[in-house]
Amino acid sequence: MPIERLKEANQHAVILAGRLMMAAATTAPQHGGSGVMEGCLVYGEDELERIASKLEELSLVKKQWNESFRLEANMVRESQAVLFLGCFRSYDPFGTACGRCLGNQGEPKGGTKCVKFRDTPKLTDGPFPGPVCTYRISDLGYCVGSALWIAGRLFIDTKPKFPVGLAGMKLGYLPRSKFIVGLPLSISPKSPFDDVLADPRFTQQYLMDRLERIWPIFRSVYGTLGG
Amino acid sequence: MRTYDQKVNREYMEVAAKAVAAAARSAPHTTGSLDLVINILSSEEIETIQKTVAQMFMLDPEKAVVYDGMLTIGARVTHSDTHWDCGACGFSTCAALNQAAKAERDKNPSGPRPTGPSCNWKVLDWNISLDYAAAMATQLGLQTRVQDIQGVIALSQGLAGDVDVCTTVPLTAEKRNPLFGGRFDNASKEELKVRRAQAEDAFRRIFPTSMDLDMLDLFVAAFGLKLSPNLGSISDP
Repeated sequence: MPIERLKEANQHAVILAGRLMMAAATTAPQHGGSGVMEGCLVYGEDELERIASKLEELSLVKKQWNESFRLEANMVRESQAVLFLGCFRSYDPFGTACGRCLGNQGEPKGGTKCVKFRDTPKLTDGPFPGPVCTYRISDLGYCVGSALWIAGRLFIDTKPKFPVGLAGMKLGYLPRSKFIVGLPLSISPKSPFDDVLADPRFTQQYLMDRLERIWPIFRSVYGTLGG
Repeated sequence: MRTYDQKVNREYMEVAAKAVAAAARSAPHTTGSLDLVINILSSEEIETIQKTVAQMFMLDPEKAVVYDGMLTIGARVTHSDTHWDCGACGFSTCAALNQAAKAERDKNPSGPRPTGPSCNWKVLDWNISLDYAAAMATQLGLQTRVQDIQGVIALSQGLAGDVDVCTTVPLTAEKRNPLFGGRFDNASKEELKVRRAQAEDAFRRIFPTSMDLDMLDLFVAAFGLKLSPNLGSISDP
């Protein structure tokens, strides 16, 4: 009779949860009923290590990213899967001329604000190639909200993350999307996203290494003393 | 024993609206520094909003549906304090975005707050909160639908507080969902025709140069038909 132990079962569960979250995100309400979201579930130690090392690489790009991105890398290493949700209609303006993207500065002599948005040159040097249609990002917000709600109901630890989304974008998981949110999923007794140490060097792995290093010395000293 | 009548329903709505507001407040966010303003509207305020909507769409204001409960969920999104410099707003730094937003506000300091340019991560967080509100309403056994037009009206009438963007979450406990209106209406064909023409007129008045309508016109024109007079406003404005 096949037996599934806790670790193995959790590994399956996190993948199932990721699939359910994507399903919930697909049925989230969206403006005009047009889907804007594409998703991708990444799991496996090697693939997560790839995301984590990309985050460490990105931490050197800007000064203010340095510490937080390395902390995010630790969180990804402690997660079992990462869900990426991206908006593939981010350059396709919704057409209500709401002015949330560029304000009224684009109030044109001819054409709407949406036409102005479409004609604005996109950033090439920035992390995200903005501007993106903010109305479409609203739709992505509903999708991410539904995914988070389902994860919450299933008691799976997750949080929406900008750095993880950026790493996913650079690794090309969602090639059509210009705006991506990353949701690392974790099943562990203590959520890796809360009570984070300020110094990104101090991980569980680091402490185990230190312990391994001093343990033989400790043992021999105490053995000599007859302890 | 108490029959579940309008009075009990109203009492439940008061409790449910608070639960929905709490769910919106406790939603997980990316930035963690979003200024959310959640207001629970009274039935008089809901009536004012609904009558304005009816006038906008040239419908009878007397027949406007007054929902059992309604919340406005607004946020201040035109200021970024994340220092991520992610570039999703179109400006290379957060400081540049804040500067542009301030210039936008200074153009008309006494008028309504401008809706943009805004930080996309703040908008995302605001919508996560809205989704949590709608999800909580569904879990409480209520019909709901996130509504933008009502939100804009609430903002202009000063019911939403000091915010840049606002959306409403109506709550009803009807079997027939009034939020997806028209689908359950037993109107005659002639009446429907008149109503459709009125709705199209109203839609053009609200969104005079909507690109989606223009695209529809182009599509229809390909079959030799003509729907709207403002065809071609994209190419030669």
